[in-house]
Amino acid sequence: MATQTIDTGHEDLIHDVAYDFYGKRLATCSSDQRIKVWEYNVKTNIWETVDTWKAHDCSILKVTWAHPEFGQVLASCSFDRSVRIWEEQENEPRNSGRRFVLRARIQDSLKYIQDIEFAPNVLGLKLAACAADGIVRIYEFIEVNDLESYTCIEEFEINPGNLTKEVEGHSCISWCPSRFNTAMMVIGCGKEAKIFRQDGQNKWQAYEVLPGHEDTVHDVSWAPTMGRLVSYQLIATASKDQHVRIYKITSDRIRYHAELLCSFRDHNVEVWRVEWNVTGTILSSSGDDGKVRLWKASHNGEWKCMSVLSYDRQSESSEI
Amino acid sequence: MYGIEQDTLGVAFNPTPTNIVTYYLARKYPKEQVEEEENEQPNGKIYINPLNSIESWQKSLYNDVHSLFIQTQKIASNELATNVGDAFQNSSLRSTLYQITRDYSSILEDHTKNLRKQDYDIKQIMEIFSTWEICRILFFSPRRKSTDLASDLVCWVNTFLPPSELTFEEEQQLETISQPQNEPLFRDRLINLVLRGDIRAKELLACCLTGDENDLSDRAIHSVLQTLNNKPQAKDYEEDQLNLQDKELQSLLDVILDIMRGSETAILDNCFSWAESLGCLLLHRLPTADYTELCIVLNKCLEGKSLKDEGDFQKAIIKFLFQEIDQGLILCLNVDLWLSAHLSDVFSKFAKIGTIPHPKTSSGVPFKDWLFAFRESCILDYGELLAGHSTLWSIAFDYFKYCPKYGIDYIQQLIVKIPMDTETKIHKILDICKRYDLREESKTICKIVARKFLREKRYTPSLFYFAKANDKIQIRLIAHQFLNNVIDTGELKFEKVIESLPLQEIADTSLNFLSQYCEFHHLLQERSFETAKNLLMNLIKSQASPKYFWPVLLLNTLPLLRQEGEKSKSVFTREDIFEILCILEEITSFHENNQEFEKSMRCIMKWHTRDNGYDEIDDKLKIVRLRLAHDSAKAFTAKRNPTSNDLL
Repeated sequence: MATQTIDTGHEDLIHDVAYDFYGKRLATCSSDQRIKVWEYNVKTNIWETVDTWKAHDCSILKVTWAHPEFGQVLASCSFDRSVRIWEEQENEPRNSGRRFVLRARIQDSLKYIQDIEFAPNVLGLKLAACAADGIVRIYEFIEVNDLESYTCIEEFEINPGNLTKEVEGHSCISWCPSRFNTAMMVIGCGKEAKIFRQDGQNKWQAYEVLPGHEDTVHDVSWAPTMGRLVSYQLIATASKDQHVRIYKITSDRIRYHAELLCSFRDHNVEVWRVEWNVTGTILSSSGDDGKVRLWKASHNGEWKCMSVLSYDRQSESSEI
Repeated sequence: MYGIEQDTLGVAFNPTPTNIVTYYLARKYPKEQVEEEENEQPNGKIYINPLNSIESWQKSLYNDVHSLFIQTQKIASNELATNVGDAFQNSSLRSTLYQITRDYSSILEDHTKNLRKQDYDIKQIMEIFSTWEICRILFFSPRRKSTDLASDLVCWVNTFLPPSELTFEEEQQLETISQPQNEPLFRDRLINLVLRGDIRAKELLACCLTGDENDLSDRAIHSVLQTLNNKPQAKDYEEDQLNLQDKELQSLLDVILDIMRGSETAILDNCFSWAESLGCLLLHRLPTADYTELCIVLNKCLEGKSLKDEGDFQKAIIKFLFQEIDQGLILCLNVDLWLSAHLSDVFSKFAKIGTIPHPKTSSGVPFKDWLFAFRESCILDYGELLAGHSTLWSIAFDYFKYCPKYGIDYIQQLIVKIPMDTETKIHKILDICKRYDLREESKTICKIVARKFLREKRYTPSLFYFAKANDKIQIRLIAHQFLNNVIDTGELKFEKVIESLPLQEIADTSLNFLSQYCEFHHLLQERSFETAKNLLMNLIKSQASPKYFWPVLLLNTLPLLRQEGEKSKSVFTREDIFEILCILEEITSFHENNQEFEKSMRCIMKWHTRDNGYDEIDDKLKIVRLRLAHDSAKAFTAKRNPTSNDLL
């Protein structure tokens, strides 16, 4: 399969790349403090820039799209401690630098924001942000037509009692995408990854710990539920301990159980990212070895590496 | 290498069924936190890698076979639902299913021919076609004669691994040779044709004739030609021995006769591949081979041959020949998604009527259970591939439909991911939601579409889809936007939007209010004051509009109130006036110092001017109060005068 290359023109390294709901748009963010939005032109088979703008005052660490039922809305977070909400203005010309307007500038954290993710659309327009001080905040935008109005509806510590300590380098977040479950998220923090959900008083609490991590959890990803709804769900983690892990989450109606389903050390170096495909049947992982590994469960449920994509730093090319 | 740098590799999955993987050099930590290395060249490149793609020939094939797949499911489900275990019905179903496998073959054959005509690379379709055919021969075909299996397999070998044809130069070279039996090119060609049972062998061998009837060599050649002609059984010429002076010719004829006799050594020595060996052994040695003998022969063909370098296609064929259906199907996954999906589907149908062998599976799961699960997994993968395609996406949902375990989950998950480029596509997507009773998905889709139209300021479709999504909040917000516009301009710019909406179908309070408000203005224009008054009073009493709009409604009473010096009949009853006064009192007192009310009044006062044909107003709407009082007074006077027929 032919690999397509986009030269983003960012003036510094990229921190994050996020597809929109339909996979037709890409948002990239970089240490150059800019966000770029790209759109795939079916006729020309080219990714074209929609706009580029200076979005923050420091490195932009993450960028994420809201569900399209809320419009063309982007959120970004930065080392400048803010989370910003951007909305596309279709009457503004492309590449004018004005196409995405700042709707909200949220700066509640004392430390920088490490990860953000919009909640599944069934929960409304909500955004979770986890900061380097180990505090997760959930913001709600009640009026979709007025994104300037938001409320911080929740604020909780990932590791209660550990607030003063910088969270051993990294925290990451991923919502449970299922609309059938109660609102849940998996949060990686330091050497742990835990499932959080609301208790009887609607307060977010850590419940199950995903076992086995021996070093910092760099990334977490909750798989789309698909046909496993009744029986189980899947969560993947990427860790500094060089492992990609897949956890099986089961429920006996009273509580959830997290079981390590499989653990792979194929990267043999730090693994930084994990992400599921749309059906939760293929997991991608990438790390310091410059390789993307794709994991797929065979028909008998056994997870195996189905493919390896290599990035050659020297020649700046890639190959399968 | 990456670990010691500030960067690593980042990855993102395109969240659609296209399964596109995107990767890029990603910074690990915020630049502000780490010491930056000097002269580092940023690499802002992103690599986008689709895991699967559909070529144009595949698109056409997938379209053509889709109806056949549906037909198979319908036939199988109808027949099996009523006649499981009935031998006669099973036999009938088997022949129907077999006919379907032949129809699949015909489509594959047509596509192969077309591709060949267009000088397309046919490797992949040939692999698909040949795998399909070997399964049809081995497992689906109802065999009538003992020679059917071998002859079908020989035919399969000759079709899919035909003897290599000579180049134009080689053909010319052969034509100019005086003693061809001495030429390796001639010998190889002749032996190959004999091995394959190709009629052209006779023509080629005849080239060695000198034309001398008494020549021993010619007589020997004639004898061999006769043998090739008659194709007698091996034993019939077991004793034939030649003793020619021309040793080259002697050895050539010996090899030919050995092959004709079915000599295993002669055949295996002269074949290039295991498949060719198999075909030739079946042709010359075991023309009535059954499955057991087939396995023995196949083992001989594979002896000493390493399959390590063979592709999954060849390995799958071998597994099928050994009747290891499960292993063959697993290998087909790597050959082609279409093949694995459709082949496992057909296998599962035959398995239901018990006409295929039930091998032990490597996982220990009973074969039938394994096969049904495998079929579903393959069809889901194939469907996912289709769902990501711009024109084949709708077919995908027909495949998911026939996946009893997870099909509906795939439909739910993927239907919302289909990009809605056109109105037709939106309708098609919503139809699919309706077909599978996907209410939540339908709502989500409608909300997405409605939001898109709203961004484009296309209010009619936006409201229509918000209504379909039952999103009353959004409808109310848009309605408020319209009302605000009236407050700002005094104009009914939304009139056409409301008129073009199917309000009875939508049945929304906000929209009904707007519709009635438009109707009120129509009636006013038509001077149907009585009806207009009734409608306005309904609108006021219903309190369906937000309070900030009440001043407008109150001002709308002015044209209906008698003007100074006018003698016309008042349309308002005493109760009406009382109602209006109450509301007037309520909003002016309740909203005193209320920013929203004040804002409304400020806006209204801008256009409700004498210049625009209205009465001048103040922020307390005194004019309405005065007119009401005046109207009441007039009515009171009229009441005292019995000749008046005034309402009040």
